[in-house]
This record gives sequence, C-alpha cells and structure tokens, in this order.
Amino acid sequence: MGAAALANAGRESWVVTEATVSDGPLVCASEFPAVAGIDSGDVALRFGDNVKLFVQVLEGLASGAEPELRAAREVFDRGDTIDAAKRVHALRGQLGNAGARAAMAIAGELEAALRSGTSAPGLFSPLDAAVAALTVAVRVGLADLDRAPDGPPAALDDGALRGLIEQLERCEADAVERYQQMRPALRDRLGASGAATLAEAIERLHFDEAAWLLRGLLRVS
Amino acid sequence: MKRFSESPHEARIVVVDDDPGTVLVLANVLKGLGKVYLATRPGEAVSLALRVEPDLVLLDVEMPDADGFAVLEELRTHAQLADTLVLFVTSHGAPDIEARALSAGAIDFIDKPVHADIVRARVRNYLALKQQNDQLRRWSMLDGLTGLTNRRAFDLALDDEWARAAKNGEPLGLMLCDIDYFKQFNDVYGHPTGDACLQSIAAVLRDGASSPRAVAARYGGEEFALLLPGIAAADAAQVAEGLCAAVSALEIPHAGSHVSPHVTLSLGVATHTPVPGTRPGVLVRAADEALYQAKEEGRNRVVLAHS
Repeated sequence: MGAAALANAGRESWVVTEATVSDGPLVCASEFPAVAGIDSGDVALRFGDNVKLFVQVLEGLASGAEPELRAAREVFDRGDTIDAAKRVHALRGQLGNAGARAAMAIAGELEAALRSGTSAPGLFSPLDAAVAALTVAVRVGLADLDRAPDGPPAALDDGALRGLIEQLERCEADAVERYQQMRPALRDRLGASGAATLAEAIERLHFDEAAWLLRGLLRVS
Repeated sequence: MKRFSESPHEARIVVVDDDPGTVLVLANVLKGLGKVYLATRPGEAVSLALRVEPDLVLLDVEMPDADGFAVLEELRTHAQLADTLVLFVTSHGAPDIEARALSAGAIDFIDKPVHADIVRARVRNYLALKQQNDQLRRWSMLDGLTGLTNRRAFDLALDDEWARAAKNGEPLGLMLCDIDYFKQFNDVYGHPTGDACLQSIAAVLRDGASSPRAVAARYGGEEFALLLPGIAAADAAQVAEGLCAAVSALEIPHAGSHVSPHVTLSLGVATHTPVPGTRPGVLVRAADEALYQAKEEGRNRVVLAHS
C-alpha cells in the first residue's frame, strides 16, 4: 500500500479523536486490536500473545511518530541530511516494530534518498502522509479498546516503593511491570502532574529519572 | 584478569536500543532466558554493562546520538567485559555494515523488526555457548582437587593486584605455606587420605581469606598461597597465625610429623607496597624465603619477612 492509499484508508475509516491514549488498564483485549496499516500477522511473530505490550508500543507510536518525523524534517531543512537520515532510520525501526510494514518501507525509501544526498523538495511528503494516516488509525484503534476504570489505589508502603526504585536504578526490565502494578497507587501519591512525568520517564525507559522522582516520595513520607 | 565465580550464574542480558518499543519487545521475547536490563541511551550502555557484567548485549547498530560500533569499541576497552558477547540488532541489512560489525567483534546479527522465535533461539544458543566457554575457563583457572585458584590463575591475579597496588599506593600481602611433613603423611595414610587432607587445608584457607579480593590458591603439591591486597604486615601476620591455629584445630592425625601429632603448617609472610613499573617477583621471593626460614626454625610456625 502506497502512502496516499494508506493516508486515505486512515481518513476514510476513522475519526480523529484527541487524547485517545488512556492510562487505564486493559481488560478484555484478548486479540490484537485491528489497525489499518498494521500487519497483524507480522505483529504476532513479534509480540506472541502479549496484547498489553502491543498496545503499549502502539501508544508510543501514537504519541511519538509524528514528532519524530517533524524533528527529522527540521534537521533536513537545516541542511543536515545525515542526521535527518539517522532520525528517519530510528522512526523506521519504530514503525517496523509496531508492524507498520508499508509505512516502514516508505521510511526506508526516504532514508535511502537522504543517505544518497538527495534533497529534492517534497521528499518527506510520502512519509508525512503515511505517518499521519497511521497515527490517526492507531489512535482510533486504541480508543476502541475497552479499558477498566482504575479501582481505588492500594496503599503504597515504603518497602514496595523502595523495591521499585532499586529495580529502576538497576535498569531491570521487570521494573516496567512492577511500575504498571503500582501505577494507581503512585498516581494517588504523586498527583496528576507528577504521575504524568513519571509515566513519561517510564515510557521512554529513562529509569534514572523515574527513580529520582520516586526517591522524592520516599523523602516526604 | 577476570575472576570467575565458582558456579554458573543466571544469564545477564543487556538490551540497548534508542526505541523504547523495540527494547520492550526484546525484553518480552527474552523472558525466561535470563535477567534482562534495559538502556535506551547509548551513553548509559557502557556504565550499565560495567555494573551488570552481562553475558550478552543486544545492541542497536544505529542510534541518533551514537552508533553501536562506538559503544562496542568502548565495551571492549574494559577487561571485565572482554568475554561479553555482543549481538547487533539492525534494520540496515547492508553487507558492508554486517561485515564491519563482525570485524569489530560482534558475534552475530539480528534483523529488525525482530522475529520472536528467531531471537529466542539465537540468544539461547549464544548463551549456551557463553556458558560453556565460561565453564572451560573456570576449569582452566581452578585446581581440580581443592577447588582453589590454580597456579596459573594465581600468577595472573598476582600481576593484576601488584599493578593495582602500585597504582593506588597500597600494600600487598602474600602468604606461602606448606603442610609439614606431607610426604610422610602420604606414606603413612596413603594418597586418598592425603587428598582429603589437602581439601581440608584448602577449605581453611578459603574461609581465612578475609577480604573479597583475597585469592587463595594451590601453589604446588602441598604448597598453598594466599594473596591479601591492601593488608599491612602486622595484620597479615595475624591472618597467618589464625590459619595456623585453624589447621591445628582440625586435629588431623599425623603420625609421620616430627613436630606435632596433628597436621600443621609452616608459613612465610611478606608484604610490600609496590611502585609502578616493577614486577611482583620481589614479593614472592620474600614470602618464599620467610617460608624457608619457618621450616629451618622447626616448622609449625609463621615467619614474617622483613620489609
């Protein structure tokens, strides 16, 4: 599917909604959400049956792909095609990881063009269109998921908090899952703004920043 | 020289990629194969690896702020990471990049987007290979009978600690000890009992190695060595006296001994604060001469070399 077709598919099938990425836990998504532009067969090869992780990756794509592409274009506009190629390369990896094979191929063409020194006007247009359509499709797909409202936050004792901080400081992969389990209680303690900052640090896997934020909680308790 | 723990550990895997989504997918795929650690910034990859000393690093070839080649090159400058396997993860697929990575010391490639079954199979195979290599290396460093560090590994550790002590201006202690009249012990009780005696003495030395950096070794047939980094002469002598007492307390009968009804040790102790550019021979000679003197003076005793 070319960029234009992909863009049209996205626009025909879904309505753009704002803030579709909820942070409520997923309850009944036992299958991968169908999203135009995402190859579900390819996704299954990578995610196995981990729907929750796939949704997490889609959330990253929904919030990160367009800014990433914008940053690449800005770098390109300043004349740095090598850095632009690197950024497009990173985006290509992100698209491929999420199973967006068609958009990934378009990113690959742009990356190759940039690496060969091409600087024709409109070079970014196909990928712009593809990523815009995909972002819309992903947001709608995420909005269609059933999410359970958070229950009352469990008490957050310092021992559990320390355990999470230590895992974060050690950069352990298991820290992400532990954070997910403790998220309602952490939100209660950190407030909306603090919880959002923490969520962003975890989403980017900047464990040192997350641990630093949580250490602040220990100091005030 | 990298020191080896005596038993295989749970595999440690570090995943480095600028895309958090890819990192999380890899972490999910690697579940059950070992302890997984994550980094999304190339700058933190090396410090994380130094802390974790991983068996395997899955490393993105190209990241916006640095490339995987630079990270690999830096990893290779650290002795404790010399045996860490590096598996590049890339969506480049270009033969020249693949060839460059393999030449730089990567063991293999994984294509992005990753395929879970292929990643698991490949990582499992490489971890098995790493474990076998570690085991062979461990065996090559240990004395088969006593489980202590063998002579070859001890000599390497001595060089390392000597260089470290010279750099830090710290003293280094060395203790050489012999089991008194061990030939007669074997003659009286037979070699299997002699082996058991050596194992018992080895256990005392292992327990007596007072710091984590101390190295207890089987130095020769019935000769043992204990390397004590950062120890002053008086403390080294005290450790030696403690070992003598601990061996006596075992009360291993020794009808062939002329100094005691039980197995005893003679110990020579030396300490030295080395200067850069020198070799540890002076320390070994001093400990050896003190051991000789301990035997000459009637065995079952500690002699501290004059420093």
